Amino acid sequence: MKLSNETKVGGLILGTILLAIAFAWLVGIQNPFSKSVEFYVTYNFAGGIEVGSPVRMSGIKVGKVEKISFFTPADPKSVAIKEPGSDGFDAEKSIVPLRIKVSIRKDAAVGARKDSRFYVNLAGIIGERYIEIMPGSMSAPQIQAGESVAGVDPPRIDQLISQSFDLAGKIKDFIEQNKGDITRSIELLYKLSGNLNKTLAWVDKSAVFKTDLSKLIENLISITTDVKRITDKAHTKDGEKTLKLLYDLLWRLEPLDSKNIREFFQKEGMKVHLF
Amino acid sequence: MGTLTAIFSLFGQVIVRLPKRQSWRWGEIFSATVQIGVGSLPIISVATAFAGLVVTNEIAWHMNKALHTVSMIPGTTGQFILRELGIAIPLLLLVAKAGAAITAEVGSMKITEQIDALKLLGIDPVSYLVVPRFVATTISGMCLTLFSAGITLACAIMVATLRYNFSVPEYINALRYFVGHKDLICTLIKGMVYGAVIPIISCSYGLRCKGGAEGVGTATTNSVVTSTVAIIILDFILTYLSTLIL
Repeated sequence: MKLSNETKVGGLILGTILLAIAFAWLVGIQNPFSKSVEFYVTYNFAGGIEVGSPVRMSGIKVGKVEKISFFTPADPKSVAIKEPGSDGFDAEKSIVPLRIKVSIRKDAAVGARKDSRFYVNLAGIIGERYIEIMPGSMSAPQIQAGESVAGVDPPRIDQLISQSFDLAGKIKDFIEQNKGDITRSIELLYKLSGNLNKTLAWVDKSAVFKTDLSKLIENLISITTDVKRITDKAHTKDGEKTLKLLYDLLWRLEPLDSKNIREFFQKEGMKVHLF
Repeated sequence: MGTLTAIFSLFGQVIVRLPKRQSWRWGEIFSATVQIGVGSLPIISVATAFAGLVVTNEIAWHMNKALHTVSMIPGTTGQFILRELGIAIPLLLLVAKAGAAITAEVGSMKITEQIDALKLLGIDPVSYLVVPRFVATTISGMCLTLFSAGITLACAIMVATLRYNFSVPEYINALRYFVGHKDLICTLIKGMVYGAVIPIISCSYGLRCKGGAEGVGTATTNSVVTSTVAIIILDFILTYLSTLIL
């Protein structure tokens, strides 16, 4: 069967369109007709997030970063957003310079609440950045389209390194300034540990310590054995009955006249003193 | 310098004639598309399939040597195929096959004074010969680029699956991290631009062909060389721009 030129060209173009659709699916282009919710997450430091970076919720990809823009409000206090879980506004963090527009699937948007937390995380061996949404509580209102929420700034490795350099410098200065004292302290510690070793060796060798310690341990063992026997007996039927009787006795004695008891003990005391 | 002027002049003439309805000779366009696009599909499929097999093996080998892991095969091969390999190989093959054919055809018409005859009949040779080939090659370039990217990627998946123990969904999921709609746009734009360059250069050499059969041969050789160099230079420019814009 001989195909016409038109059919062949039609086949080529149709094949191309199908391939384009297949590629679009392959590279993860979202269906433009599917409904998604778009809102803004603000950061002071975005830690390498880029347009197109994935957005995940509970570890599942639910959307992507649509746009990143710098945020220069006229009155920072009026737009400062409190990070979920924080107690109050931090004056230093009242200006939020970065605003990231994210779009997430409508079904996943149910979990994006006002108290949800937005972390910048790393994935894979080359460290691909993505936004992880920790779903909030159901009592908190859902984030609506176009609303802004505050993200949790990722730790700044560069800052940590510079701070550790700063700390190392301070430690070095301290050591250099107190070199003599530190050397003396180390010498003293060395001597002390030497003395302690000698003392321990003497204790270990001493026959007196050995016998006294063994006697002490033996006594402790017998005491604890007696105590155990008594407590075991207390848990028997007779023991419980005795305890109950003692309790009743004490209960009856309680209302007795304390004045007479005091007099009795005073007399007894005088007898002891005189005789 | 004269060659460059002739090429840009012809490109300008084609752009001027494109909006005119009489330039869209559908019969010629379909015929040229079948000859250039459909006719080049088998050779391009075979060449790009082997290119996919080679590049995946090479990338995996180097990655294993340098990083001691092959986990990045999908991302690296995917981007390389969609941004470079899937475009350059089919278009360079198209230069060799279609570009040479266009120059030889137009050159033969020139030396046998058929083009002069067209002018005498009041037919514009650019509208009659160049515009249909320009449209056909531009469309074919775009289509062939996507076809070759698909075939190369399929072969890359095959190597990754059979030799490096990837599963197909695993490969596709990993690919999605690195390849996006921008790469796809880049592929289509490059395919279209290189497809448009080939007929302009080929027809330019054909229309300026002098002498007998030897002149046609020289024009064809020069046309293939110029088109190849032009595609490589344009590839650099477009890659540079795409990394800036996309």
